[in-house]
Amino acid sequence: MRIPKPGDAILDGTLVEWLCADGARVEAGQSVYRLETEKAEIEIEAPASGLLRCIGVEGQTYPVGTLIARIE
Amino acid sequence: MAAALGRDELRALYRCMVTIRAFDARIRKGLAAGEFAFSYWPVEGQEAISAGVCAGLRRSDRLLTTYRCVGDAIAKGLPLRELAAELLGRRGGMSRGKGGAMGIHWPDAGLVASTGIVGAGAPIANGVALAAQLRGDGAVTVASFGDGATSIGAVHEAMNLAATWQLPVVFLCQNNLYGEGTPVEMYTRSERLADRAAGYGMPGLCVDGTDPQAVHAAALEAVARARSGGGPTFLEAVAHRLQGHYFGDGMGYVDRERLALARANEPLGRFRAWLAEGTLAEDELARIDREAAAEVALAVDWASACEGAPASDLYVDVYAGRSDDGSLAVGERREPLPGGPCEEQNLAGAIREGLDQAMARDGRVVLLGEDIHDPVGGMFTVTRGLSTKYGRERVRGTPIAETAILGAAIGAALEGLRPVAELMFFDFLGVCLDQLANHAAKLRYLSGGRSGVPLVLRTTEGHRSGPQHSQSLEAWLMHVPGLKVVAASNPVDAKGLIRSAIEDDDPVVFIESMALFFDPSLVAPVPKAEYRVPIGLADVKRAGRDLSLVTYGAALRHALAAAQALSREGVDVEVIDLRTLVPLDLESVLASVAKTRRLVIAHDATRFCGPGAEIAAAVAAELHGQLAAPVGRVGGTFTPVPHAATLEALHSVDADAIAAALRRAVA
Repeated sequence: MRIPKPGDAILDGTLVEWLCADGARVEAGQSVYRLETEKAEIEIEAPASGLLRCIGVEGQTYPVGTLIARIE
Repeated sequence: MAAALGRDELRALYRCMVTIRAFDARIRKGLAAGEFAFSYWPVEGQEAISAGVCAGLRRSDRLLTTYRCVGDAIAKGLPLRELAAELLGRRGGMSRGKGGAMGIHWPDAGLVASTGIVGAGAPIANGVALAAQLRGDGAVTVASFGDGATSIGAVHEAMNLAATWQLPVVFLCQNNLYGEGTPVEMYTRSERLADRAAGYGMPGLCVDGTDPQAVHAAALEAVARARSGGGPTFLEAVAHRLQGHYFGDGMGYVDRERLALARANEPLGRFRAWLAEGTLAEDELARIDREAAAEVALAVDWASACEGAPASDLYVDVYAGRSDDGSLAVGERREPLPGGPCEEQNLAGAIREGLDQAMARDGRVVLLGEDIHDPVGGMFTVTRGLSTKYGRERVRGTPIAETAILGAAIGAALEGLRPVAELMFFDFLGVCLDQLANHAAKLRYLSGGRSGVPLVLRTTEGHRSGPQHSQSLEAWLMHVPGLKVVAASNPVDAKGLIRSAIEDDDPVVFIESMALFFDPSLVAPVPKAEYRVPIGLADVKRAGRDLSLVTYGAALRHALAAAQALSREGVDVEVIDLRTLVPLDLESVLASVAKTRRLVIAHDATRFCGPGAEIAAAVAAELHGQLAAPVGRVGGTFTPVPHAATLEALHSVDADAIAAALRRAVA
């Protein structure tokens, strides 16, 4: 999972909070983390089911496209 | 729900809805995971509208949609792979990745265009429908737009014109309850948007847009009316949008309770549950779900694997004919004028004869504009007699509605007609610029060359008609890739240029002049035979050794007078009439200046950022070091065109002002 580009003009996003723990099993469509951008704060859903491997750190701001999690 | 549809039709309706849902979800999933990044406008919650309406259409019926296009595109039968690749900006996209959601074109399935401009598709739909009406083949055109579009003037103009002409159009308003981030009740007092139809003299229907069978039934009624010659219908289908205006929209403007209710009652699940009660078996429904998901997955995987749009595509399809480097074909070199009898003509008469001959030769040529029909025959009589000769079907007087005129011309051109629209005064450009600059100019490019807009927009530069009827705005249009700009200075050229403009495969703005229409000094023998003056070829009006004077349009007569004055002072001025501003015949200009080493450019348009600025820069770049004097520019002052004659004289270009610039250049 990479930091998305949720809307025009967005260059980066802040990983506000993991909604699932590192290593937890997640289902596709389940909200995994909260992302804050200059335009909005939104919940990002898992694209697939599996074990969540968190890479990004809460409170950190990352450029669009940065890898912040894997679902294995 | 009343089961008016058979089992196969219901299955197809469900398959369509579930495919739309799966496609939309897959795109949003990829965006959320950062798999790809582009602007996307979700359709979740509106599947029943697209599916229900398109189930009532033939493949040959036409559809225009918006950037929220995925549902309409899939329901109209577009291939998922090319659709996905277009959204992803890949070479395999239907428009070679150049348009994205705003450039969805698939004429094979009747999808004429999507647009990124709210409401702009409706006027174009009228032209598509006009072509069908003239063909008489019964094709119906659906103009699909959101509720937000009902606030914009283009849709009003389009509905009024469609009703007036009884065009076979269905105005499909997908009311998802929010104009972007503003709830409907915050931008209108209309209880139902469909109520507005009554004001145009057309029927208005309002249906539950979450019920595919209700949508389908209403669409059938509207489509049947259009197909049988009964004219347009305004069909409003109401369905709460279940996602944001765009992917990433926080939806802070949404009433959470209303949204929760809409999600609990969402159309796909509801329809599926209804089907499962005795229409289709659960395992069949599950199979359709799996097939749709697999088809969508394959399509997006295929799109992801496509290469990006290649650099070699950048300049392709800006204009008709392949161009890898942005150079514009300037047509054939000069053709001699035909022999045979001539007739003394003023500018208005010469253009009229050019139009007349084009109409006689080609049944696809239709004229549209305000007052162009007899007895008025146009504000400046250019079209006088033509409606009497060719009928009101081909010479169509319109409401005072320039966006509707341009849109109808664009739609007709997309369908293969050769429309000539009249914009009575150039100053009215502002009220229809979106249609011209965002649609006529761009549709070839945004469609990856699948479409083209061979229209002519005739317009008049006013003269002594005040600040809003006298402007020379050609520089605005020279800045728009995709347009050609022609300016006639005399009757002989005008007759040949208008013919070339009509036969050109790209949109051409043809600039006429109020000062010249009836100027007796311009009356000249014009060949009676048909002929063409090529677009993109300047004309040396007066050969000279000492100085090049470049001009066009109404300024030419002043330029010639100034050159005459200078010749009495021993200065031999070469006068070049550009005749076409885009494509610009820089070759002729450079050849002249290379010889004379001096250049003055004169035009009526405002000097600041006027056409002369581009010409001066190009000449300076090419002939730096060879110029014997700074390039001179003469143009209108940086003021509105004043009404008072004393002030207008100061604003405008005349022979004295040009002569002064010529003297400076040889001083």
